[in-house]
Amino acid sequence: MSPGRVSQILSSFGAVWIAVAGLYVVSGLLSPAMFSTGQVINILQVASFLGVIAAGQTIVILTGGIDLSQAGVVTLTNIVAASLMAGLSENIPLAVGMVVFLALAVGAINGLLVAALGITPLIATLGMNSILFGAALVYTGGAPSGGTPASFQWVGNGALFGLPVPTLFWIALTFLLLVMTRKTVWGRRLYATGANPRAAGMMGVSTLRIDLSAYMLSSLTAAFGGLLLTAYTGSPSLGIGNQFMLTSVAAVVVGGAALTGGAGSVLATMGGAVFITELSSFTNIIRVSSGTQLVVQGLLILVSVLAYRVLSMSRRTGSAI
Amino acid sequence: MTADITNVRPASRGWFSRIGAQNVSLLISLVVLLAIFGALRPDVFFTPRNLINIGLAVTILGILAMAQTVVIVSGGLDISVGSIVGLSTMVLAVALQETGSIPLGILACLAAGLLAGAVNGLIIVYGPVNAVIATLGTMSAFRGLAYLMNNGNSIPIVGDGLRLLGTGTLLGLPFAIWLLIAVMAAFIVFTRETIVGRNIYAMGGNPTVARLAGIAVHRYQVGIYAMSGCAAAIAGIVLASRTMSGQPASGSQGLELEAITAAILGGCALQGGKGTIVGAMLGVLIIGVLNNGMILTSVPTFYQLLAKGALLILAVIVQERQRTRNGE
Amino acid sequence: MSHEHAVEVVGVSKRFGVVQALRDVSVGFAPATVTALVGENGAGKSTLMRMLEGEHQPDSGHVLVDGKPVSLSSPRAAHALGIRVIHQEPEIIPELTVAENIFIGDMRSRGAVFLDRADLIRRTGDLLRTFAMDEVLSPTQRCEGLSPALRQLIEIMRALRPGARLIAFDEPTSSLTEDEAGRLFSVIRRLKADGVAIVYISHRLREIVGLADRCVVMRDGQRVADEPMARLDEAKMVRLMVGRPVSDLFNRRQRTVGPVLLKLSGVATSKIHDVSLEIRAGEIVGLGGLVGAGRTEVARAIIGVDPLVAGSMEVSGAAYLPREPSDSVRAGIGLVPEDRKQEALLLQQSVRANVSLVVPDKISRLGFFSHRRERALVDHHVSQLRVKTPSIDQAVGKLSGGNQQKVVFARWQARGPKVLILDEPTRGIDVGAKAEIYRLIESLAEQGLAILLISSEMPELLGLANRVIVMQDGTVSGELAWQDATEEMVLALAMRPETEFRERKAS
Repeated sequence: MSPGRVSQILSSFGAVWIAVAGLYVVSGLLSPAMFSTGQVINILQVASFLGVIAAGQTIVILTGGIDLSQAGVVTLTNIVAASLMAGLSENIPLAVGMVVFLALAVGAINGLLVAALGITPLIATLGMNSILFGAALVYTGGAPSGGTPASFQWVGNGALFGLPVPTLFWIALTFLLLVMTRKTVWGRRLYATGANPRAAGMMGVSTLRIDLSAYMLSSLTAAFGGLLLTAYTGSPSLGIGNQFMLTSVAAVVVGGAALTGGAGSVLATMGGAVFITELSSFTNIIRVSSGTQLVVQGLLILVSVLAYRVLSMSRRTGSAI
Repeated sequence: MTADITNVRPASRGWFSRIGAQNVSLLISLVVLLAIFGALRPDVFFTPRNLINIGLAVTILGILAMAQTVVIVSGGLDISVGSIVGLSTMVLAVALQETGSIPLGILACLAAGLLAGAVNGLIIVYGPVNAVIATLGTMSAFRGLAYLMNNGNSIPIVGDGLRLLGTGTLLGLPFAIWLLIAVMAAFIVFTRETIVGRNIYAMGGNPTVARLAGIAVHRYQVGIYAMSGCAAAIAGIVLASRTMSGQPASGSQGLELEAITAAILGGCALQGGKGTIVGAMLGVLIIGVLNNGMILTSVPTFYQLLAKGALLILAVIVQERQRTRNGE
Repeated sequence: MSHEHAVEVVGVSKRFGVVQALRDVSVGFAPATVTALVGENGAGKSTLMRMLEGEHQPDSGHVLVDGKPVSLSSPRAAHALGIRVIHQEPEIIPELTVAENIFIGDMRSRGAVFLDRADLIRRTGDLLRTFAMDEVLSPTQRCEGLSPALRQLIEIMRALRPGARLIAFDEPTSSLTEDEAGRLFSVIRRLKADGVAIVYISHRLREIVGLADRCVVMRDGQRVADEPMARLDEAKMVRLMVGRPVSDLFNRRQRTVGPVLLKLSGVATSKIHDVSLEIRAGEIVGLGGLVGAGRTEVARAIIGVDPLVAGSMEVSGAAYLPREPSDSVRAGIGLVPEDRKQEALLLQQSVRANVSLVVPDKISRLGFFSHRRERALVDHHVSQLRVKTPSIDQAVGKLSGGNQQKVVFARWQARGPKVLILDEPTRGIDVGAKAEIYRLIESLAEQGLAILLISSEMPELLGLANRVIVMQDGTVSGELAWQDATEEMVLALAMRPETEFRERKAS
């Protein structure tokens, strides 16, 4: 690997991890509780749910789209999985299979709305989110029921090699997506579609197929995130997915991906998810109000967008010299 | 040139073209909906009381949808309006608590909305940050500010002055509906009869032309988002006059989404440059009638969310079809 | 007060990054004079215009209006000084009326904020009557769905608003028919009689000879000539623009022609009809015609962007019906599109990623890339085509136009297609790189590719092609062997009067 390539990788993945480390040190100095192993494990555990969901969001954002229906997928997954399992281990395969099937169907519809019918992704997926949330309400009649068997709860709460199971799953998923985006023909076409859909199309990339696969992956990781959350909480809840509509986009943006498509990386999104969770964990520890947390979250999105703009500008002038 | 000239579509000046084909199809959908629900519940649906209920139910959405229309026509999008509604009810409640004067309270509330909107505009213009991302960020930040004002608790409003706005009537119509009509009239005049209003269409329809024509695009953008914030504050006042309290969480139930839905239903193109106030209000009325009718015909509330999501997607599909048919 | 020049630029220079767009240019534009501005793409004409309309500011030098130095700091300032530029692409806002579109940025108010519609309609009416356009445009008409010619007319009317001192036309006739162009020329003569300084930019040199009083020639950002029109003719202008005789760029060799690789029979899409042609291995077939005659649309039909409504196609004798461009790539057809930046390149991505986009099967196994094989393949083709780039990891957007185009060629060379469609392959490329591209096209033909060359540049078409097929109004209007093809004959086929054309088709 040439030195140029190393610096290229550092500049594309590095910024957010530096911020993660910086925030960790600052928050640890202000509140020593942050330095405890337990707290680190806790942050990783909580970040896993967001991270798994945001990993799929990254793929969609790389195409130049956005998926706001992930929140609905998480909620529906939680409701359906808990109700189908009904506390029995033997029902796990059925529940997981059903949830995966639903997610792929939702992703396919999103992809078709965007790529085949040309609907703005923001609107298509917002509408889909509303439909999914409505479907969850209809399914439960407003009173969710069911629950997960103890064996399934291990997936959300257990640990292996000292790390929470969701975190291990998250790392594996991120690695898989990293290989898919960086090493495969599909990945190359994904970046090409995001960078210049018209050129990619003219040069023989089937952008319809790429968009379709991106939205299906996004729904799928939302379903995985939903399953992990269900295993973690053990019970169904209609409000469980709401927060992810914005935070999954926020994690990708904080990771430095361009909403215009064609630039970003799943590894950077991983950093974004850790950063957001770290920040909210820190604000929890120092007991700021939920109001402040919301303000901080909003500012974080704006500041990171601006910071990446400054970073890329300095890089541009740097290379011109 | 002669060949092309003879093919020019005649400059039609009939009522059809004045209302616009888009609005005619909306009007027909509205009539069909009215007919369906009227037939299903003939006893209650067409009573003056129910019609007034529909009007009251769409007041807040209507104000937000009209402001959103102007934002979308200019080529932007504002998804922070729901949070500004919540923030402005809190500002109103606090100001009333502190001063006890309704005019001062309303002034403070409008100023807060204006300021919040101007912040959006400044971030978008001088960041520069994509409008969706910027208002996504401030959506969270403004909601946070609303929570901060009283540790996340609501503030009750005392005194009858504001209650009058919520319950009073004039010529048999509630004040809130008069307010909606007034806001609508102001928006129609603004978009059709003022130079700034016409320039906004140019700005969204073709930014290059707007810039070359010397339109101060940046100043316009800040102004438009400030206007959107101010409209959200007006909606906040209406809301507070009903609940008689400042609620930090109010306006969070997808209000911005509904406003965008109504605007798009009414013929706005998200690419900018296209859309009318009358269209947006027809979109709002369709949503209002649908909501009201579904309640009257005992459709479970759960299905209503499904219906709304489907409606939004359907509206955009129809839009997209028209756009491609026009060969744009 | 009067001055010799209405507007004058003195010693202006402008640099964009590494490109010196203008180098110490001085030109004066006199009142009541039509000054033609000619030069190849990238010679600096557009930059000069953008400076006059206040879009760009010069790095050095200054602009004089009526002999006094002015600062054209914004489009508004330029407009107020009476400098108007009419762009090639009409920029019309469909939602607004004709009157609002014409007077955008200059609408008068009633009571400080309200639009004075009566005044607007009156002023528009006056303007339309002055130029005898009142029978074709109505002030209150909405602009949605107007024809391209009428849109162009509105764009022109916008510049004719009172107070114009200098009006620049940038390729105004590219979307107009001959009739329409004639009407435009009478508008220009009328403006000239009113004492307005006219700048006329066009690639159609014949038009210029008839219309202009003076001719300024630009090349590589410099003014290379400023002569009265009477002292120039087309050949002299071309020589000045190119800097050397055009024939030097081509050295035709005998080509051996093989079997038919691409065959179109009666092909029709929504934009073209009844197009039949054959291209053999080792053959370069030129496709000529005016802009808008349907040449690019033929390319779009072949690669599967526009669906066929009638007719059939064959590649190497086998039936071929593409549903999307990926089918055409698989069938062995490559396209070098006209709009390189929009339709061919991923500007922020590396040369490597751009080249390997169409050859994944050669450098991957089971969907996984081999970076080693990728680098080897890309390196080979990039060096073979002598693409000037610091490394194959350089972003394509940072290369010059000629090198960008070579990257597009390298991509197809790596793929090795049977048929290559070139749509205006030398647009926006400097003369040196042009010659290299011509060599490349010839060598591709020698390797046995069937090449369809779409070009508006006559010397290119006549110098490279074995045969020239000419299109008009969406269909083929004639075919010429290279020995018979002259510029005049191609133009005659491209602009044949409609009646004669119809009769010929009927017989």
